[in-house]
Amino acid sequence: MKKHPTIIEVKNLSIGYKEKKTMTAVLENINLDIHQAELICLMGPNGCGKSTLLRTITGMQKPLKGEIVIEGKNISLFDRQRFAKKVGVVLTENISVGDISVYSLVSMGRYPYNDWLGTLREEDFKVIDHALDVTELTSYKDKNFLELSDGMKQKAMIARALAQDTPIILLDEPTAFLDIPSKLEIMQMLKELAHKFNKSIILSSHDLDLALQSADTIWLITKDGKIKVDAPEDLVLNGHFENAFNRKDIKFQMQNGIFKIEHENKIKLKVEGDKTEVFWTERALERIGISTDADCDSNEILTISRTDNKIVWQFNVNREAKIFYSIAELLEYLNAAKFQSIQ
Amino acid sequence: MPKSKRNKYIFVILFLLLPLSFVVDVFLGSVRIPFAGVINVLFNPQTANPVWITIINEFRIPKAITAILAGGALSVCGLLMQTYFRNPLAEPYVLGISSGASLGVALVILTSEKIGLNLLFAGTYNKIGITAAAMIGGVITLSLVALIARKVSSNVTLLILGLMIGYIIGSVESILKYYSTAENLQGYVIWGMGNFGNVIWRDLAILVPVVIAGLIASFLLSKQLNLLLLGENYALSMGANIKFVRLMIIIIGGILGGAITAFCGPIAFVGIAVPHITKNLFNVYDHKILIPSVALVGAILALICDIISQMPGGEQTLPVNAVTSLIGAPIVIWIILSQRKIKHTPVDE
Repeated sequence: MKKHPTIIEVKNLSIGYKEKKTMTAVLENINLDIHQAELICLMGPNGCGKSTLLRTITGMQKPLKGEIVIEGKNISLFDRQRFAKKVGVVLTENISVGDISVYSLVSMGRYPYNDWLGTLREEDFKVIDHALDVTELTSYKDKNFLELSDGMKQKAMIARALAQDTPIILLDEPTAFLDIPSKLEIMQMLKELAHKFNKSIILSSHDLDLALQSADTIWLITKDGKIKVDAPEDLVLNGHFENAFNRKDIKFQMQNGIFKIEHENKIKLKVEGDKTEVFWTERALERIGISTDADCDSNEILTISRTDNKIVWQFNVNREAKIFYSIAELLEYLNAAKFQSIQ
Repeated sequence: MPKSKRNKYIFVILFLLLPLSFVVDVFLGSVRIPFAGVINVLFNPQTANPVWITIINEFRIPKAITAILAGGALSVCGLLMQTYFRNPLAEPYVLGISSGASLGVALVILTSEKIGLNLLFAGTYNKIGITAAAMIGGVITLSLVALIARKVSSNVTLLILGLMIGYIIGSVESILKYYSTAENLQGYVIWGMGNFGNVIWRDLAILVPVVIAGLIASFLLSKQLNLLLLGENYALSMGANIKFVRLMIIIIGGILGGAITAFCGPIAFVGIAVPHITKNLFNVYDHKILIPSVALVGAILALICDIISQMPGGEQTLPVNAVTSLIGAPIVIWIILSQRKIKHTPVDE
């Protein structure tokens, strides 16, 4: 894939906090390139400086050292109005304006463009309608913002950033506190904005799965304060994700890209049956600390069969067969059996 | 759109209510003048009773105009404070602007010539100096509160801070009072109850331009004020010049609150009650609409409070502050109880 032109360059940047005369650097010597039509996901453990980095790129916080260059110009040289036409943001802050409709909120995105009274012109209406359309909020435009669900509120804030018509949009944890369908919807939307409308989008997230599915590039802040930049899959295969997130008892599984709680699995079972049913049964067993192995020569075999739309688990142990009609029943039995075997 | 149509009707009604309450306010007072007499004075002064002419022209009309100015100025000041602090409970009286302004006034009078506070009410003193002192006092107090407010995140904490600053200023005032004569003290106490009736035509020559300038300046800021509603960070990201807006709000707020305090004494709760009443009437967030509406509702409410303060009908009038508190304080309680916003305060990083 041909790389799009670079729109932001981060050079030798050190970020952190300055209080009186002491400087506390959170991250140092950062060098990054942001391209057009790129969806970047900023990841890293809690407290690693994700928000600080985003705040610094949006100009809300001064860098300790180094520079951020947007379209060839250092951001400290932009006046606020001009900068507002380059970078739009979506923050984690709550909005507590009473009685503002979705439409009015989105139309505030036009403020950098219109006159001192905020009068909307023909062109502004077009941009606002487009922003509402892309975020699928057109039918909600007269609704009170505060009465929307969390997912819809987030969409409205994104629509407002779109109305701001900036080539760059930064979002701080846009999917936090949302349910899973909303998370996926937002990410899908952001991906579309990046690829279809050539926006450069940077967002911070804790959702590894989501990031792996949607991001073009991941900025991964590692434990030693470096930023690894790569395609998500490369970061997985290089083991960087493992290094960044692994903790005692929680391990990143490279083969399927998810985190698992590590159990000390002493008991092993063999599970046979249809693929989907085996998958979920194995997950359930994993949860209570029983590992499964198709090749193990255990004489304890769990067979799953489906008859008349009913799933039946048959557990053969010592030539004795036990039948279960749900995973809950199965787990109850196994838990009890496990307890006895330990005794 | 039905909402904007409804708002137009409300606006028309309010617009009619203003001259109506103005007339009622002029009609009422400690000296009973029959309705025909008032009409006579207004439209046919040659045949009217000269005492009534004096009462109406020299006292009641300036008083009613002052009520309009005070109501409008304090309400817009309250609206500015609420937007600035993103706090529905903020207003000039609670945040200590009024006490700061009155300290300014007291200081000027006591330090220059040591003549005593009562000259403030006699009208022989240079009112420009007093007004300036009150406005400076208001601006300084407001800057102080704004400075401290950056350290606190809770709405209610901010109010407590404002009240504490008010207490500190109040105690300085008490010390000043301690050294003043009994006569001045009495005047000071009456002034502290709030009164629209101490303003004469010459004072209005100062008050009218100050208030109008303040209101126009607030209106010019309306777009920036709207941005502030989203919080400082969003406002910044959308191109607002936060430092400038904040400074302007403090100056305008201090001037509006200070000037009114200089002439009318501290008037409680108008600044908090009116923006809420207006927001509930119109259901809008936009300051372009809010500022004129708030000024209008404030003017009407102040006139109504003044009318109520004369209701007993006898020669006595109630202190305006008692009336405004009686109306305003329950509104504050209602806001605290009814609004979820207060419970979880937005926290700016």
